Amino acid sequence: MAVEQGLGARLVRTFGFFKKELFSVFRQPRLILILVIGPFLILLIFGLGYRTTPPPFETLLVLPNEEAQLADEADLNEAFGAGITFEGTTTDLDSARSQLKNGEVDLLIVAPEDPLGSLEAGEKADFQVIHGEVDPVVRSSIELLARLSVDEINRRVLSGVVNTAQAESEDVEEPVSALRETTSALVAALETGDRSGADDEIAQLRAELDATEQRTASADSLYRSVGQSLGFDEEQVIGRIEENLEAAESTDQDEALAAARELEESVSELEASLTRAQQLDANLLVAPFGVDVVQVNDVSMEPGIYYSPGTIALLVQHLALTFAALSLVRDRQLGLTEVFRASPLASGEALTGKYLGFGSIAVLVAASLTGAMLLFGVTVRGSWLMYAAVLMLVIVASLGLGFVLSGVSRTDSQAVQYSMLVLLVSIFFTGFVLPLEQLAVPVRVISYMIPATYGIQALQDLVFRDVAVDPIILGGLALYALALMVGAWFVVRRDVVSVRT
Amino acid sequence: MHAPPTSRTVVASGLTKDFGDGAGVFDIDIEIDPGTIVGFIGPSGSGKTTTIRMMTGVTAPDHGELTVLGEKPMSFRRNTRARIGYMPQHAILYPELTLLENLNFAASLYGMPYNRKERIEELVDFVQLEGRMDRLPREASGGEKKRIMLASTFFHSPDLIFLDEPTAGIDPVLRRRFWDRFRELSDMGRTLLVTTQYVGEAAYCDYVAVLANGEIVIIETPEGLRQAAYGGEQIEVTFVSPPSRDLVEQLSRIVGVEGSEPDWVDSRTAHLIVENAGQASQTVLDWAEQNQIALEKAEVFQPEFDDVFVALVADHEETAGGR
Repeated sequence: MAVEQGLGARLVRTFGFFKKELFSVFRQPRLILILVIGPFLILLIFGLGYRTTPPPFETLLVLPNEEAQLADEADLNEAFGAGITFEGTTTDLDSARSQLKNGEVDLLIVAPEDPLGSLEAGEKADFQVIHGEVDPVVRSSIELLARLSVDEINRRVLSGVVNTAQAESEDVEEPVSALRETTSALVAALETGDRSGADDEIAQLRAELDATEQRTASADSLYRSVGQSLGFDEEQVIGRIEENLEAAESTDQDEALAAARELEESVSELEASLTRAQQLDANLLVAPFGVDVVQVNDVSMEPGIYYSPGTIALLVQHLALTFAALSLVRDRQLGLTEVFRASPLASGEALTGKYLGFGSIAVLVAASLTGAMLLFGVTVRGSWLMYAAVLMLVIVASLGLGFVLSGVSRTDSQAVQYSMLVLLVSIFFTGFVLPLEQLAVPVRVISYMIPATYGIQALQDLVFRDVAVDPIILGGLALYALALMVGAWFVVRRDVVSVRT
Repeated sequence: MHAPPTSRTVVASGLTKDFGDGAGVFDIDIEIDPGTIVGFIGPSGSGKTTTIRMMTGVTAPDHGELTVLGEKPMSFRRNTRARIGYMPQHAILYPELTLLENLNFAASLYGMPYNRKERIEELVDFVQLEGRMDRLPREASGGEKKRIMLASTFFHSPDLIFLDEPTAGIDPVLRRRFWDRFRELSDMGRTLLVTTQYVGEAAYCDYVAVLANGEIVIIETPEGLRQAAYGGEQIEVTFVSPPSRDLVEQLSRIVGVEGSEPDWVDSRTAHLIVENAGQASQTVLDWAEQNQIALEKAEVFQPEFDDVFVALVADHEETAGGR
């Protein structure tokens, strides 16, 4: 007599599918090899072989004529940094272009023909950077490199100007020193009530002040602008000296003495500022601000390490999705759905068994990949529990997506094609290679249809940042997994219960 | 075939599944009682599998009424499905599972508990696959795969068993063993619906439904089929030497044989259609003895079912063509 179809029978059926899926997969080592080891090796080789910095551009400097000489080659190499290696200089632009076209060099830097003339005409003297790159990423780095290089050239030119100004400012020491001595004499004269002597000192001071201003004219504007940036206004100090001089001419003895003492302070201030300006490093003056980029965590972000959580999410998704998609299609192709339909099997039992079977395999693979990640020295900084929960959700959602895709696949080769398509979409749209933020918002809809998108974000947070996973990401993934599970149930139900007429 | 309506295992009326272009089954009327073996015999494409698929709830009919085990197959309850065993036409096995694992999986589909060892041994013995159950399907022959499918179908001891060409590719000895088993199950009250292309297997059935072009040509007992095909029973009369015209005329006038035009197989042997072959053959023997006619034999003749089948189908096609 037939067995009563109670809970026990349901569990037997569910476990039957679980066991069957496990056996089916483990009896196909080649399939596991292709699905897991293959993509893993590809990504590993990519991670090991990928260089974060592009190779330097082999560059030819094109000068307007033989006489023109910006700097020697070594100096230029230093100026342009590691991004460029100079292959030489030439004055023949046509020949240089031909070399560029033939791939002998990567870049041409064409110096401005008459930089001084341009400056005198109030125009910038432009360097021209010529390249033949079509790759947008390389093109962007050339543009950035060109801007940085020109900044470096500008800095070097300015540095030279400052050095000249500093040399000239040494001439100012004598008149400023005389200013200070005459001011002291003025104070002494006013303190003793020698009005006539004081007037003589004031006249001398005016002459010395004119001489000081004349001597500093060439470097003054530079110092002035730099000084203002640093909080010292030389023009204001000289103006104050002139005001103090006028006040010191007062017939009121006390008023004149007070002005003379203020004058003494202002001169000292001017002298001190000139001394400081002379002592400043020219390079610092023209580029006073640097930048120090600090990473809040101490994770070394070599590509192999950075991509490891993403790789795990991606591989686990690919494996689960492919197994799920192939499984239902194979059942259909083998004709087993006919047997299922005639049996007491319920779609929920078949689906649960398949979820458990493939889920167990995916968990094993995820655990192995995590172990490999730990061996490479990458630790999970966040909660391990959350790490496991995220991976479980990625697995459940991926299985659901696979089952849904099997609903539109007629053959196993179609199912594999769909799974490869999802893998391709995952590489570009999940934030695995390119940041999600660089995708236009409507396009991100595609991203969030891929379970790995949630997984990569969450795992990167957990592995590198030790921050709580964004509840929207976690909740979104859970909801998506649930929605796919419902979709999968409909697909299985169609195969197991309903009838195609 | 005739039991109270409530106890009938299968009742179909006007059952139709139209695939278009003349393919499908049309207006099937059949009633099957418990404990009978019904054979569905017909050429390829005659609608045997489609009929079975509708009865198992695998395919929905387009028209007509159908109840199986008192329920409509498309809305079978789970417990009702558990009372049915279905063996599809083609061996459907998971290629990565061994024959034993496939058998176990099939058992689990029906919720069979895990203490299956004895049952497995019994079934493996029945299908004669001892020592070969650890092989993968690709290592097994077509017949062995069929045997595993048959064992899978019987595993849960169903009350109603649908077997779609179970003996195809099976050697004659084992085929006979299968039919013996079917008879045992039938004797135990199980109902079996068996399709076959081996027309000779009609002899093992209680009833035979002959299908052609999607229609049931006839449903009869095997003997009834013969009668229907030839208009009565047959006897075979063999003379010691070729009979004279006069002797043949005398034979045609014998009571129970009269009106039957002898069908001469050779110069000495003729087949005659009679109402009761047993009586008629005895009458002929008596006639020969009384008249001292050198008769080698006069006995009941059972024509091959192949011939019966061909005659029935030809007659059906002639009738259908005439319509």
